[in-house]
Amino acid sequence: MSAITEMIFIALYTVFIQNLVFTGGFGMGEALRIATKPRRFLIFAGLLTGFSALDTLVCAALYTIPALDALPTAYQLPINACVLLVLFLLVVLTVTIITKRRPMDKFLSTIGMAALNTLVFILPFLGRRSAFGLGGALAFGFGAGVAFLLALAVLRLGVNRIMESKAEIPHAFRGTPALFIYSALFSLAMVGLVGETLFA
Amino acid sequence: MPENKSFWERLQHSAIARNPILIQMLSVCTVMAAGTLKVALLLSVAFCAMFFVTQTLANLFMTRWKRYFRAAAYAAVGTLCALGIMLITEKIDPELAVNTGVYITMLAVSGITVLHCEKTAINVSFRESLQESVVRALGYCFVMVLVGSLRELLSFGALYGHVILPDFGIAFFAHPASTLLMLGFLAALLRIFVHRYGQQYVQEVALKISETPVLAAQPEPADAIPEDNGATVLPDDEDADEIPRPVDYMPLAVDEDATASQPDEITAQPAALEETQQSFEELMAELRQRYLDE
Repeated sequence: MSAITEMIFIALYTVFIQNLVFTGGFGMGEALRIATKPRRFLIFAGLLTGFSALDTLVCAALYTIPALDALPTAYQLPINACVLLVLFLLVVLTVTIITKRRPMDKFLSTIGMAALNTLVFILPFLGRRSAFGLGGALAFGFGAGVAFLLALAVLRLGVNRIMESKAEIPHAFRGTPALFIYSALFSLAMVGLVGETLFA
Repeated sequence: MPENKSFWERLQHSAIARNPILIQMLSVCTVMAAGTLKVALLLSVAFCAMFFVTQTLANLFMTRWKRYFRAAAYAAVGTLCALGIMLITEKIDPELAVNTGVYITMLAVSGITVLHCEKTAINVSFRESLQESVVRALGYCFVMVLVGSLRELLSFGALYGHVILPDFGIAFFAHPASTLLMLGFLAALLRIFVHRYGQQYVQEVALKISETPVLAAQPEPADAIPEDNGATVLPDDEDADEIPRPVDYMPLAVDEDATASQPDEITAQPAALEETQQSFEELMAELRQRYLDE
């Protein structure tokens, strides 16, 4: 299988088969919260995809150094975190220098949310466990970002539906309970797609 | 949360009515990791350690930092704490460390920590901040331990590894997706409890995560909507049951453009905005009349 084909396969697998948001719960909290904010939807998802792809790629590149590769898992944590923080600060400084305007504070907030969240934070760990190469890590990170966008879209549809049919929902289940249950049902659907057995 | 509140009042408000998981939907992914009581306890301890250290440092040293530097600092401090906890866990129980290492890592960027630090820790005294952090940690840990216990009991018939229900186990509850279902029902129970026994917190349960200025000295924008919105929400008001709109905030708490980030669909919101604008116009008219007349 060529490298490009493998990357496409990994990305598609991460988006549709092993959707980290629904099957693993990574980034679920952020997805639930952002799904109620239609204005930030695409910008946030785009930024998160960029950060996740870059972060996994840079971390994968670092672990080609034998000394770093030999470190125990616990010590890889600060390395991954440093990479992410450096990327985040570089992007923030770049935006600040380019724009030189205070109103960009909101955009900087969005950058912070997109960079410093559980999904992006955990991707380098998961990439190493899967023993991806550089191309695989890039595809994995990109696929995770797109998977998050897919999760956002699905949850947003659910939010709209819940809002429309509010009168039909029992009083106690309006609001966050309905949203949690909707997310649970969709997670179960994704798990079924993978072929896992839930009721053994 | 105003100062000079008793611990019990803070507990009612921040741990129950505004529970960080069930109402504010923060750190849901770490709760999904709690498949057993043992894991839930470990994650709770890890969270508390990271939370208290980060909020203390934020309160003492970071009040005047730029917002994005603070966000990076929270993640950095959380990472260092997570490293220490993982090393300790490896020494005590290597198998547990392997299973939970990923989730302890995620606690380093917990939304609860960032929310508390941006909303409270950098704005109030150390004592107030510490009290608030204690009640928030209690709210988080209670849900975490409850979910972990229920999942272990239902999926393995055991609690903390001790078999209680022999030959009982539903594999579904071993899967993270079951946590969301549990959280949904727990959130519903919380809403019933608050509607029945805590009428003064009905609005809190139904709604929003309010925004806050980053620095205590920073003035709010003129068009910012006050925290209570001026809207009167009756206990059985349907509009109170909208999905909470966590506006621009996590992990960087502040959105100075409070108006733009308020949701459109909540019916009480436009009325509150109009009320605020009307009252401002009335005030200006009154002042004009008073001073011009004089």
